[in-house]
Amino acid sequence: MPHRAIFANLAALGALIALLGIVYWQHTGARAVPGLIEELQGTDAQAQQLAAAHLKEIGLAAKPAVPALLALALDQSHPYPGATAAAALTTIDLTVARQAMDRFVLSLGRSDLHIKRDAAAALGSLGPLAKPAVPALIRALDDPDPLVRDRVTRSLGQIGIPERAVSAALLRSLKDSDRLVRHTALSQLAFGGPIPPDLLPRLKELTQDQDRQIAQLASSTVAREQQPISASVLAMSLNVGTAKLYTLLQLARLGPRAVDTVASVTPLLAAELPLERYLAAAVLEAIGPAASEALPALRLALNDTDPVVRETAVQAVQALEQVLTP
Amino acid sequence: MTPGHDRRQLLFLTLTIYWSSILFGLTAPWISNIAVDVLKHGQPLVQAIHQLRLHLFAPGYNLFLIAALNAAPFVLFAVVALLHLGLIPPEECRLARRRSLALCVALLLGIGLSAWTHVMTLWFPDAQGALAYFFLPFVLLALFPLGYLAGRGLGAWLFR
Repeated sequence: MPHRAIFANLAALGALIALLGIVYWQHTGARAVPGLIEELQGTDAQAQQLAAAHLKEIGLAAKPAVPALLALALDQSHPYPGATAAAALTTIDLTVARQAMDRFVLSLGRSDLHIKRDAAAALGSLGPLAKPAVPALIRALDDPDPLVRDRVTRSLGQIGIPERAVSAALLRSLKDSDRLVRHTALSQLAFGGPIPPDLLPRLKELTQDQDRQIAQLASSTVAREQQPISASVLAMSLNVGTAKLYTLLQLARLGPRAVDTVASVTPLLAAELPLERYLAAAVLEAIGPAASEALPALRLALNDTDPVVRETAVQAVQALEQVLTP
Repeated sequence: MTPGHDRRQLLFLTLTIYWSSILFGLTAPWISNIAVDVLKHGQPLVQAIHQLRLHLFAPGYNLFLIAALNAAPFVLFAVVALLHLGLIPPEECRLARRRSLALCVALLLGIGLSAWTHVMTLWFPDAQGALAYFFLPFVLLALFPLGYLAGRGLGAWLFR
């Protein structure tokens, strides 16, 4: 084979690799945003859902997609892509995500069952950012429709904070007359996260439930509680990019028991992602006065560029100063 | 058969091994996805192709990266095959046959393993299934030399 032919084939391979590299580069990071916005505005629900999930991963660089994400989140004809779009907003723009939350809370009071169920589920997709919606969700636990109560219970588990209110609500769901609601409440506790001590007696009761599935789930939850994860061990995951948000939520749920992590959490008040700064402030608020060493950093956070982070920093400062001020 | 005819045949075989290795390495995961969607999930072909397009860069799926991972050992194999066959002196017909056979055996083994891994991973989904995509390139890199050695042994016996 002539050497020229060998070089030509190698060059063609190099060109193919370069072409593939360009295609990949165009479809990742901020460069992918215009194409993803088009997908959001299309009619294919699956494409919308995948585009929203992709934008969530891109994060702050996906800012131009915020109007399209908000429109999709509030579009009641597409509940599943809408919930994913709402979740995407939490990593891009906290204020707009809170706007979506306010609309979902309003929908929770509507008489249409489907709208109520979808709104309840969508609030959960906002995660801990939907903390102000917890009182409305707790009220919705009185809804006569078991599917509404089921979705409310799931969402309360996903929001997770304020821990006391959420665990009291989960306790109610554990005693619900409907099996599905009890099962959902249990599964919120069974697969990770701290188990509030006041739920233990009811969990132990459920280990004797006539429903075998519920009894087994309750047994494994109680067994998990006997080997609780310490806050310091959880804090080690704060250095793992993908686990940071989950870890911060678990620490916020631990409340004062997470006091050993103050030094690890405080630097996150200056993190790039607003959701991380929000959660860091929420953790310190949940720890309360024992996190007083974080007060200077929290006072700096009072001037944060994001209004939701500022608001949470105010609440955290108030929680920390409860004991400090005579 | 004339020496010119043999040369043309060798050139054709070299380029076929070279480009089929590259193209198969790149498209095996995509073909497997389409095949599983059609055969297991009963989707029409057009819908299966649409699904592939949607999941090419989607987080949690990233079929483009999976294809790139799968293609890496095949590309390496293709370059070695191009040089190994392309640099044979024109008069060494027997050597060319032995090497061609060895490379074909190695490539077929690689294609078989890659296709089987991708189809099985999709057919029997599992939480740890994605690990197969990570380890497969290393297994292929070990398999190619073994397949080559087996092919050379077969060639030495067939083309004495």
